[in-house]
Amino acid sequence: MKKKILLLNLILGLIIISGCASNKKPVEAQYFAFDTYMKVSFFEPKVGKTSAEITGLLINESERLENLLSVTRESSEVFEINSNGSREGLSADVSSLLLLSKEIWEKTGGAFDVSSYPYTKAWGFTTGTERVPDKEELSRLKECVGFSKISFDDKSISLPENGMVDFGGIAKGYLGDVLAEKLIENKVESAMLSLGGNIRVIGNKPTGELWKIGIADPENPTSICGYVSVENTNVVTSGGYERFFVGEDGKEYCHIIDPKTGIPVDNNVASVTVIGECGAICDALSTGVYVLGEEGCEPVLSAFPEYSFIIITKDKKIKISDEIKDSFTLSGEYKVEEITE
Amino acid sequence: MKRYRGDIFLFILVFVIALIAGLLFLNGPLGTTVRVTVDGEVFGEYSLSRDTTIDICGTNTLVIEKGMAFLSEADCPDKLCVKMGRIYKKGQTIICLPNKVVVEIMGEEADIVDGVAGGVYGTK
Repeated sequence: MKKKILLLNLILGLIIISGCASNKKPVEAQYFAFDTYMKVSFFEPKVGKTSAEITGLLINESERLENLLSVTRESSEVFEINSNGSREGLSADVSSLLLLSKEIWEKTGGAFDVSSYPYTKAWGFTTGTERVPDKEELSRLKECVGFSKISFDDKSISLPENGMVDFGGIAKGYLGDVLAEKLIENKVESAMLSLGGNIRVIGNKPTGELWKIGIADPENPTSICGYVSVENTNVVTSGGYERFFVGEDGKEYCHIIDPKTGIPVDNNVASVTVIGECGAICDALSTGVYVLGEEGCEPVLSAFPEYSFIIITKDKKIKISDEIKDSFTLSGEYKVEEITE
Repeated sequence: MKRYRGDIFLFILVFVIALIAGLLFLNGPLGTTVRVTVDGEVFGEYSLSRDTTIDICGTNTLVIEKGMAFLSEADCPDKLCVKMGRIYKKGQTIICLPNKVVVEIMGEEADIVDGVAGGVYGTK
């Protein structure tokens, strides 16, 4: 009798604990894609695919998109478009990206432009051979840069001579949308994706709490200068501090190039964070607004009322859209200011 | 009456022990560790509280010293991973992209945030 009670007891204890355990820890996976570090974590859905199957799905989708969009992989659709100057037949993803890129190009007055890859290449950013091109070279390249020079429809694309496209400023945001769709299709209700610093959250945390997403401090990027408490959205940041090199002249040149001048951006903005429903739009807007700078970006902020912006300046100000000011918690010495759109 | 009291006491005692053991097991070992992965596979896990130097595949050297971890050497061209400096908080990472080496602080310390937007290698 005693033995039975003890056994029952132990079993009961273990059942209770395992019940608590199943919801406690998320499934995590880390991998490299799009030339950066990706981390996905999600809470296993109650029905349907296993977490291993879902993780495999996410990694496959990332691979699939990288194989379409990479500017350096010779087998990619984008590489082919850039080598031949045109293509008959476009994948649904490239077609969507062209349409999204056009919209943001128009609304940022050309500050976001996927046709500016000849400049990026001249500065050596995607090939890892950073250098400062001279004025003549940039002048020559101006001929083949400019989204208006590209003609495309849902089936084909044609570039100007020596023109090249690169979806680098929008691809990670787009990937976030694609992966989120897969997770939601598979009944995942709570997840966080960190794709090279682009954050996408699905639902809120299993505890019901909002996700706390830190905004990196541009002066000290391993720390944060504050965080936003959000659910079911994207939080995407662009900043020169993320990738730059120091030229022979001792000057810092960042990877975000102004499509109008061919020269890396150098204004009072240290980083731009965009929060909203579509990751691709957040990604493209964060680049465009960074290029436009503090004053120049105002029309863009008004053109996207459903998106919220956090602009961090080099003189330590954090300008926040009024609708998310209450979701933002400061954690440092920056000064918070409200932007009204 | 005595027999029943003994039984009940034993019941409660074992139940509590099972519960505590279970909870401890779930929370993982106490203390913080450093996890190193190479190309996605776990290379090793080390305690932050023991000073040590580890050679990672002949390409990078990990040093754990005074509760912090950093890469002292790397054979990659830009050595960004070495310039990252020291990490010690849960979730912080140092990444050597060319060698696909990731050094991450694991542990049970409560962290303020779940993720960082715009973080460079060195954050979540």
